[in-house]
Amino acid sequence: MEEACEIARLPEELVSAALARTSPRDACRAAAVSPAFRAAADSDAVWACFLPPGALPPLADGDLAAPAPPSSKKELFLRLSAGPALLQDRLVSVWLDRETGAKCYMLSARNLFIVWGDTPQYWTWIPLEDSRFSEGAQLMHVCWFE
Amino acid sequence: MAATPADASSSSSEAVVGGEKSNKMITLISSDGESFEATEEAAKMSVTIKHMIEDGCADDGIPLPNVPAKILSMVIEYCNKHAADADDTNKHVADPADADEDDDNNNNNASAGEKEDLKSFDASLVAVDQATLFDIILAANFLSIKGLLDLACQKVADDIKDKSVEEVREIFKIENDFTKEEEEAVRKENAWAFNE
Repeated sequence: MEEACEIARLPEELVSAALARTSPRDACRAAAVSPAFRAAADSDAVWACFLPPGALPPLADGDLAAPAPPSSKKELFLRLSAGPALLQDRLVSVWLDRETGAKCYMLSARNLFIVWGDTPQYWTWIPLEDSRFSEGAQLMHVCWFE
Repeated sequence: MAATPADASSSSSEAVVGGEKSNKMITLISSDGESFEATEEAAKMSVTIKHMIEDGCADDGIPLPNVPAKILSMVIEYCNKHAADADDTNKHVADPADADEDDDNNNNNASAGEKEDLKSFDASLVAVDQATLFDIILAANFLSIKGLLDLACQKVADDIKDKSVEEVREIFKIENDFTKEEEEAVRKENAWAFNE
């Protein structure tokens, strides 16, 4: 006798409630199980749980909105986890860890307090071509290592 | 004179801590016509039932047409256990005047032991066949019992975590009604999740 598919008795929102308790990776895999699972797995209800609670700090213009603003929470999550996005002050970038949804930050050198940082004999500021940050600090001379 | 942990838990249902707790019994009627009794305190763990009691609809018993007897008895068991636990927590917290350190330690140990009991009770409640598990989810959802819904959904989540697509289909007997092209497209869209 064929076993019944019991999970089909659950409305989509309850399947989403279960998937929201797995992980981004599991939810993406679940989308390939069946069309019904896909609808539940791709829903905002699930991805809202993977995104960090509360609003993100304001991002630099256009960083996330190109080519068009994300149309779903899943898309927002995937964009934020694809790579760093510059914050409005242009000194910090933020992204999400794709496995856990944890927020990660990178600080521009300009955002650090570097002792003697403005003294050209010790540190010089150089433009960066291949970074979201416009400049980095280059160490010229060490006189004291602690 | 310190109460023993056993005394503490057996007397918790009669203890009145802070707000009033009536010992009024509520009758719940399953979809197949069976009647169950539960304390008002336990019954009110269901927000749905709580509203019905407050609206005065509970006097002749509350019919629950969506919940069969087998599931209702499990739900009531859950509510009884968790209502008692909430009561115990309040009871321990409500004794700050107790200056005896030994007594505090006894209370903490009782609390820790009871938490372990509750955890293993919860685990065994959801260690059931899928049909029953999904019935519990549907009942907890209908009755708005957040703790039970969370518990049961987490169990389903644990059965899905780290499994391959084929394994999930197998476990839940889900038919793959994607066309070949559709499935390929979904897998491509979510490619990163399939790379180890």
